[in-house]
Amino acid sequence: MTNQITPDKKDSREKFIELFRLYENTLNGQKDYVGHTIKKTAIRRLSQEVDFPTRRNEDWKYTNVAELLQVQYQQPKLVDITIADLSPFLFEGLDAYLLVFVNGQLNKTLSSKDELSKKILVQDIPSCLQEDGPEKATAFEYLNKWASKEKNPFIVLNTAFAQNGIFIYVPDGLVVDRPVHILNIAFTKDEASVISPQKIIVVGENSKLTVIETYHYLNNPQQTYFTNTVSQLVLKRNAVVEHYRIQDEGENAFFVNNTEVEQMRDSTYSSYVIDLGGKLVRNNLSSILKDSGTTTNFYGIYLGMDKQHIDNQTFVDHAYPNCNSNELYKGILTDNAKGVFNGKIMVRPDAQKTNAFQKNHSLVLSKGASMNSKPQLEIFADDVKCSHGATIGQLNEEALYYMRSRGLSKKEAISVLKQAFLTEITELIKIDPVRVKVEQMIVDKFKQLPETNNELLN
Amino acid sequence: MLTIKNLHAEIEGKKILNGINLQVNAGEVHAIMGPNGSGKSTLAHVLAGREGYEITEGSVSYMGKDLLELSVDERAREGVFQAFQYPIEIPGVSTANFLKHTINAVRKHQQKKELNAKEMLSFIKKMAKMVEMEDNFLSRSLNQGFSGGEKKRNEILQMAVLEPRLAVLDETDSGLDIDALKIVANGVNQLRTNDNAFIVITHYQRLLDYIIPDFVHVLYNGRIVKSGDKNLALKLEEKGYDWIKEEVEITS
Repeated sequence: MTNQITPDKKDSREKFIELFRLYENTLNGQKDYVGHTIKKTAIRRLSQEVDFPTRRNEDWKYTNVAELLQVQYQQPKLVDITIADLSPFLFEGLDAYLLVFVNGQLNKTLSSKDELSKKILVQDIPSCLQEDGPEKATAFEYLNKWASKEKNPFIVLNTAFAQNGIFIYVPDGLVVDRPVHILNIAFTKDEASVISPQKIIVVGENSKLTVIETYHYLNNPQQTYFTNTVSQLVLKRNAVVEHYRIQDEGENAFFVNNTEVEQMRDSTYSSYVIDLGGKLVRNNLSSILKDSGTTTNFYGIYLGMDKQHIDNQTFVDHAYPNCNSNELYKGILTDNAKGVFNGKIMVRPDAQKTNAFQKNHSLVLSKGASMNSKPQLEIFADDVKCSHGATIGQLNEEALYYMRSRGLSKKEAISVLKQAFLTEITELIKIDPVRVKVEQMIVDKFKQLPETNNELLN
Repeated sequence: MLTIKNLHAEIEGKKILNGINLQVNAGEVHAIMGPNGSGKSTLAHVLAGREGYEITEGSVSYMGKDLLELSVDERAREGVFQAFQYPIEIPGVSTANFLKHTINAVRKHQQKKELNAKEMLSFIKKMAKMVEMEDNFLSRSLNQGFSGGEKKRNEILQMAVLEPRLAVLDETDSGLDIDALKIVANGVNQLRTNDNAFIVITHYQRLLDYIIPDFVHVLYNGRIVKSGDKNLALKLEEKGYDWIKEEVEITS
């Protein structure tokens, strides 16, 4: 059964398979038959067909997951938290529907799930699969696909271990009046857990939804854990979705985010990814355009300090004419941090009149920090407008001098310039309380740099 | 207030200032004129503290302190202001936020009362009016998309809100039409007190019709070769710089 596994890989997959066996035993007696079968399919594929990547995989050339895979993980435990625990993670002044997940499990008391359920369908995935609702088919379609056909091992892993995925369905013709804030908190005590948040979000025709996913921790800052999250979004005709992912995980946390989007005709999907925490971060973001007239915006900010490794992989698949995609990712790397950006755009032969633009700009402010930026455009249609650009540089010395000549200290001036660099993206955040908090989180992160740090100037 | 003694400065091995001597007292306006390459901008840069210049000889004393020992931001907080010849654009830094930061940074250092948000805004708006800048510029990025005239007026605005003791205007009039020039000059004149001083570096006499100097100095080959009052400027306007160059050659 496992004769194809090479020796080094055997350990990491074996560990997960063992963990699954342990976890499976606790499922006895549950009626979640369909879901259980899916999980078993997923774990079997992980042991037989699917493999974790090595440096030899082009897409993982700059990101080494060996350290992530070496850890012996546990399934996370159910932990109770209080409103006080929660409050630093809320957005002041934001009226949102709150869904609080602690270690991947929904905390009903602290969430406004019932209130949200009055407007739209919000259901945990296991229930979705059991009950004969209209959403059962959709949930099954994706879970089955992930379990049996998906090649990304992290999605397969998530499928095996997710305990309480959530299915959100916005019916046709509904503008959801308030954003939905999915607040994820890691709270593991003295054991490395693998937390597997799982979301399927379907937005009906002409509907509008704003989703804000945030990732925080309450454990000891040095605690090792692994958040492996999967989100599948489906935008029906003319749907508009704003999707934020703000990640502030612990300094020893591993974070893999797999977000896949399908866009139907005339839909608009805007993604804002803010990466502040984590030791090893990998974001896989893709949008498959399934009809014409769509708009896709991918925005991202990454701040790497110490030995952080932040890797953003994006993919837009233009298969139909008259679609627009626009990408802008900006980051600042200091100390010995490493950043990676790989933006793939596929423009298929029928995708005439495609507009696809991609920009990646990074500031590398110390000798030990580095950035690898790779655009990858494959264009098979001839009547298109496509461009890509990447810059990697330091702060503008003239600008720094100007500010110092007005009384700002070198440190203050550097901070102002770094914030200014990121303004191009933060000013795109339409929700004021979110923008204000993100700007504050960025400033707080800058403050963590030691006093003696001498940041490189141009 | 400012005493420059035998100042020699070079950049990348090239000697630019060759023994500047200048005394500027509170309440005075000194104009520094000279042909291109005479060292006018270098003098401004050295006083402001720009890196890249090596002081090989001489001293500069400001308010009893050794100015050359202070960093550029320390000088600014001590009340030295330079209005740049080519103000840089800084996208992403809002003019309003920038001014708020610097005003309080300087005030705090000088042990003046820091302004709260309301006081700050009304103070800035009052000064903006003086240089005829519209309120909307406050929300724009620093100098971004500003015309040459707007950039220079923004320099004067910054000078107005920072209330320096010594202001060095480095060819503030370059690239300005007569209307912009008048606004800039008016701004400077409104800010003149008995306690502050101005060094106005200019190539053309025109600005000095509006900012009447107490002293005019001619800089040539890195030295002040002639000093006089405002009439010296008028003579230069009429005759150019050649007669000065000849005078210098005869005496050396």
